[in-house]
Amino acid sequence: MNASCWQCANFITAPNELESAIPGLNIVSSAYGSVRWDTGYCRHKDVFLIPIVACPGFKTKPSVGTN
Amino acid sequence: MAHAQNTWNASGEPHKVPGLGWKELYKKEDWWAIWFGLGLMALAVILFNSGSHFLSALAVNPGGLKWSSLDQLAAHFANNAGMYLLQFVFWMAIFGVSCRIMGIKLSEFVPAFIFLYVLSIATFSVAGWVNAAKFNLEAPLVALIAGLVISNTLTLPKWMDSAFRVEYFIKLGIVLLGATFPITLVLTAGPVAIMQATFISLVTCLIIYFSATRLFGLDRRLAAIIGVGGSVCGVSASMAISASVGAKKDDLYTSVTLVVGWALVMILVLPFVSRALGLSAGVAGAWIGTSEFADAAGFAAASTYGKMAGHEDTAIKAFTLMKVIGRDLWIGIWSIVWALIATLVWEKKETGVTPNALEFWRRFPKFVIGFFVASMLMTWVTTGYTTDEFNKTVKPALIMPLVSLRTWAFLFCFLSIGLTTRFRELKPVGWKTFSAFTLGVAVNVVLGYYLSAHVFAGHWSSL
Repeated sequence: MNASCWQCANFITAPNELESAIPGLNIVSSAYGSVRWDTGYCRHKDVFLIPIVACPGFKTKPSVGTN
Repeated sequence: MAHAQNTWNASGEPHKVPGLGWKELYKKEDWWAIWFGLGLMALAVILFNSGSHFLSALAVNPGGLKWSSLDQLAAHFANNAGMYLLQFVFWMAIFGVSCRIMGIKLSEFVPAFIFLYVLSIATFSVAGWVNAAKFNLEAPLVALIAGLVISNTLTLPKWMDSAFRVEYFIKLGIVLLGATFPITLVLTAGPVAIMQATFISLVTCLIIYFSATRLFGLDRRLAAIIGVGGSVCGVSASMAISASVGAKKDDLYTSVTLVVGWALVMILVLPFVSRALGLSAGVAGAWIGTSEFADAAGFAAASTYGKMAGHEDTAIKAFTLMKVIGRDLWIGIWSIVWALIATLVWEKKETGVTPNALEFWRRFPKFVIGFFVASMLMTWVTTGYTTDEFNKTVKPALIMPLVSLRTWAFLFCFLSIGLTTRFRELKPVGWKTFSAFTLGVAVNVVLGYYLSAHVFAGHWSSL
């Protein structure tokens, strides 16, 4: 299986982590909502994206698995 | 500048990365709102058919008491102590279990929800005072202000946000609202709402985007993020398109500050301005539907004015038509459009993400499905009753318990808005960004008023 953002330590997609990363996100929105779909935040590129194949900045997450 | 994302591998071949898939059905709050909302509706129908009033008793709250002495209030709690305990266990069970499955720690959720529940009882008690209306102590306003005061004067630990699930509560409330919303109304009044909402959203988004980029020289991705934030569905819309346009973290953070700030202003101002202008509940609900950015904030404003005007149901229905059906449904379309713009117009050389029609479904606010299903099912269940039978039997025994449960869900939401709004945590916004967004807000509010109170006044007044 090719590595992807799901397995990358730089990729924040867990809802609680996203809400911590963006203070106020949970005030009138939510990272647990369906409109977010699989969108996550890449700390390496400073960009929001849906999981893609691993880029050169890939760093294995300590416990690998999808959200 | 961030580029639109790339799903091609090094050889230029497309590479699919599996997503959440079926896990969405139990990992997203929208689906839990559907499961519990429709489940409660089914329970209500079963109990109604068996002649039971259990659900009505379970939805007890002191908000309608009109108490004039503390002894009276105390007596109410004493007489219903058992039911309040059962109710607390009921809410704790459904929210606790679902939040745990979504990944929220119970060690955080449980104590925070106890706090929220006790605060809700207190809020309902204030709103249930016989003179509450005289002092504008409507439950939504009291909840919001109490929450704001608490979160900005005391230092509530951040982990308590685990139970202050604004969006989850409002989504459950909206599904329950569907059970009291005839599908015939959706079909007859929906098209006007969609037309009006779409026109206003387009104008507002374009104004924010072009003033941000042409007038103030801001980054186009930021402009897009705040554009949809101010014209479609607040921060949720901003998040929905964030991947399509390759937004940065600060872009979304900026949208949070702008949307939250203006949403709070609207909750406090719109009801009183509507009253000063003498707007009917339907017209005000529609105006709030085009002026507010987020469902949660909008329901707070619409509910407040509805109570002031003595027609809460009408105000909420008008708001729902305009905001939920007129704007929320179309988030996916906005995501597709911005993906097209980002890949075909901004960076024509990029091979970026191909805008996908599936994006409409992926970004679709799924809780709205629950709203429609509840509406259709309840319309079907209540077919065959005469108007007299409906008013005497169906409404008090089947509809009103669901309205009461919805009222609880809404109050949890309004309190949570206040409790999660910590002004010190919001990102300071530059004057250019603020100006671009505010220009859009101004046009949005004025245009929304003109269309709701003049062009389509007859339509909204007749709801």
